[in-house]
Amino acid sequence: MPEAMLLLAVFVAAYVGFAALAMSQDRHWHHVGGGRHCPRRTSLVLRCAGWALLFAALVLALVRDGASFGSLLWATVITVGALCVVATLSWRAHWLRPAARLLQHLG
Amino acid sequence: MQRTLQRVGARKAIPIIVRLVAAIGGGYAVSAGLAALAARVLPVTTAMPAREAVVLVSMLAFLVYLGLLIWGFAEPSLARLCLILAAVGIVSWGGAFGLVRLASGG
Amino acid sequence: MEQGFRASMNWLHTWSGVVLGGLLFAIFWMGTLAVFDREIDRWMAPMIRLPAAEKTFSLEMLRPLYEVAAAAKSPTFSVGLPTDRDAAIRVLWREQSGPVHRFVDPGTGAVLPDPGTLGGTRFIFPFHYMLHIRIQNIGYWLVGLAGMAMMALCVSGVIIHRKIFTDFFTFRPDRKPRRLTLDLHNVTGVLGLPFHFLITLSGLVIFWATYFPSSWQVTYNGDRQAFFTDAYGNVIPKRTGEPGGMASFDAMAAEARRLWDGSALRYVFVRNPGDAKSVMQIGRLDEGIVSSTYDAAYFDGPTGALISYRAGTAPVMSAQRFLSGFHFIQFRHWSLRWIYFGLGLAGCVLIATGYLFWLESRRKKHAQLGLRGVRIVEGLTIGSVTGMLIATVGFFVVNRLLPLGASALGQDRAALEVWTFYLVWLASFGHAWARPQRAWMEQCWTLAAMASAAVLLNWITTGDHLLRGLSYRHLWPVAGMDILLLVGAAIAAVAALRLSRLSRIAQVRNA
Repeated sequence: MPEAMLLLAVFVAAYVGFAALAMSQDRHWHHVGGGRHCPRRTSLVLRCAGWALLFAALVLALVRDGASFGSLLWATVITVGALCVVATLSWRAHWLRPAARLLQHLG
Repeated sequence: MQRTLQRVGARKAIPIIVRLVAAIGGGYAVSAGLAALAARVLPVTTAMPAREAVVLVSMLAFLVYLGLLIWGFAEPSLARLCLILAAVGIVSWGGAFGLVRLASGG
Repeated sequence: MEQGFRASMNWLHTWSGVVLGGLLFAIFWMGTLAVFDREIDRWMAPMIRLPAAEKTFSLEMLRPLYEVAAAAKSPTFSVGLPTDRDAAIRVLWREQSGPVHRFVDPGTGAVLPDPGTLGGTRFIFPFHYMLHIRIQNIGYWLVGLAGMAMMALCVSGVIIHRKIFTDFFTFRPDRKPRRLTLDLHNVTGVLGLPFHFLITLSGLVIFWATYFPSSWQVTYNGDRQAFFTDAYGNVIPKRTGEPGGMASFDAMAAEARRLWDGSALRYVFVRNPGDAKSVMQIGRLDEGIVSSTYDAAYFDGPTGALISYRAGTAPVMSAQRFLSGFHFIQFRHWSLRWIYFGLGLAGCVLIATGYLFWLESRRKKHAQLGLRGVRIVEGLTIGSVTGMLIATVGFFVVNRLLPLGASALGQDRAALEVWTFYLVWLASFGHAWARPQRAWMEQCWTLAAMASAAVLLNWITTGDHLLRGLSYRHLWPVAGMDILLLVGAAIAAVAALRLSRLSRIAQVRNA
C-alpha cells in the first residue's frame, strides 16, 4: 500500500511541479486566467516551487525504489506528468484557474 | 530515378548523393576505425583489460557516429568533409592494423 | 541542401524522417507491443493461461523432452523457467524440420498442446529488432540504420525547434490541422526526448558486437568465440559424437541457487544434449535489478559437476548490462512497464505526426506544381501507420479464427498467421494508394471494427471474456489485452469520425 501512495506522490509532485513551471510562462499564465503577463515575483515563486517539486519527486522515487529503479521511475514519471500538464492546459485549463487566482491575490 | 535527376538537375543530385555516402557510410567507417584503434590502444596505455576496452569503445562509437552524422550534414564544405573523414579513417584503421601487425609479427 | 546550420539540420530532419519514418514507426510500434510480449503470448495461446504454480516443481519433468531433443541430435536444448509474467515453462530445441517450441505446465508436468502461434515473443519481439529479415543480417542493419537516424532526428529536432522552452507545454487542439499536428509532434518529441533518445541508444548498445565488430575483431583476431569466452565466461564444448547421460537437473539447479545465495533461476540451457561433452548452463533470475544480468553457472552434463560460474560483472560490462536491462525491461516493476508502454506509444505518435505535418505542409504546393511526392508519401504513411496497426490486429484476429493444427499450402498454423499479417499490411498500402482521400478514415474504421472483433473472438473461442479475465489473477494479462484492444478501437472510431467530419467540411468548402 505505501508503494502505491509513494507512486502517486511522485506523480502528483511531478504534475504540480510542471504545472507551476507552465504557469510561470506568460502564454499559459494568460490562458489560465491570470493577466497578460505573469508578474515577475509570481513567476519567480512559481519557478522555484516547480523545480523544488520536481526535485521532491526525485527524492520520493529514490525512497520508493532505490537508486537504479528510482531514477528510472523519476525520469519516466516526470515525462508523464509533463504530458498531463499539457493535456490539462489544452482541454481543462479551468482546473488551474483557482491556483492562478490564489497566486494573484497573494502576489 | 532518371526523371528525378532530370527534374532536380544532376548538378544538384550528385552533391547530395556524395554527402549521403560520406556522412552515413564514411561516418560509420571512421567510427569503426576509431573504435578499432582505441580498442587496441586502451589496454596498453591503461589498466583496462581488453574485454572491457572493447565494450567501452564500441558503446562510445555509437555516439561518435552520431556526432559525425550531424557534422556530416552541417559541414558546408563537402570537400572538407570528405577530406577529413578520409584522413581520420586512414589514420585510425591504419593505426589499428599497424598495432595488430606489431603485436603479432615483428 | 542549404546553407546555414539550422537549415541543414532542417534538411536532415525532414528527409531522414520522410525516408525512414515508416521503418521507424514499425520498430517503435513493435517495440511498444513487445513490452507486453509475454502477455500477448498468453492471449494468443490460451493453453498457457495457467495460474502461477503453487508448489516448487522438479525439473526432472522435462527429461522426456530432453531425451527427444537428444535423440534428434539437436545442438541445444533450452528451458525458460516460470517467472512473474510466465506461468508455463518454455522449452525449445532444434530438429531437422526446424525449431520446436513447447510449453509445459509446471503444476502437472504435462506438455501442453502446440499453440501453433509465434505470438508476442517470437513474432512481434523479433520483428522489432531484426524485421524478420535474416538474409545476411540485413534486418539487423536496417534497424541499426533506423536507430542512428532516430538519434540524429532527436538531435536535429532540438536544434531546429526555435522556441523549445517557450513552446514546452504548448498544444493547441483548436487550431488548424497543420498547427495541431506540429504542436503534438513537438510536445511528444520534447517532453519524451530523454526516453526516445535513451531507448534508441540502449537498443543499439545491446547489439554493439554486431554493429561495431571492428573493436573485438582487431583485439581477438576475428575470433568471436574467443571474445565471448573472455568477456562472458561462456563454456562452449565441442560435440564428440559419443553418447552421454545427463545428471540430475534438480541437483545442478540446486547447486546454482546455492552459488547465488538462493537466488531464483531464469533459464536452463544445454549444449550438445545427449553427447558425452554436453554442458548445462543455468542462468540467474534478477527481476529485482535494472541490469540484464549475465550471471550463469556451467555444469558438465554427464557428471553434473560445476565447471565455472560467474557472479558480478566488471565495470564497463556492467554499464552495458544496465543499458541493455534498461531496454529489455525483463525486471519486475509493473508501474515502469506500463509507463514504458505509454511512452512507446508517445514515440509512435511522434513519428506519425511528423509525417502528417510534412504531408500537410507540402500538400497545397505539390498540388499546384503537379508534383506527385505528397501522394506517394501519403500512401506510404497510411500503409506504414494505420496499415501497420491493422496488420497487427489482423494477426490477433486470425489467431482466434484458425483452429489448432491448421495448415494450408504447406504452411503450418504459425506461418499462416504471419502470412496474414504481411498480406493485410500489403493490402493496406494498396488501399491507401487507390483511395487517397478516404483511406485514412476507412482504415481507422477498419481498425476499430477489427480490434472489437478480436475481443469478441477471444470471448467466443476461449470463454475468457473481460469480466472473467478481471476476476482471476492469471487472466489479468488477457483482460489487459482486451481492454487495450477496446480502448484502441474507441480511439480509432473517434479518429474516423473526426476525419469524416473534416472531409465533409472540406467538401463543402470546395463545392
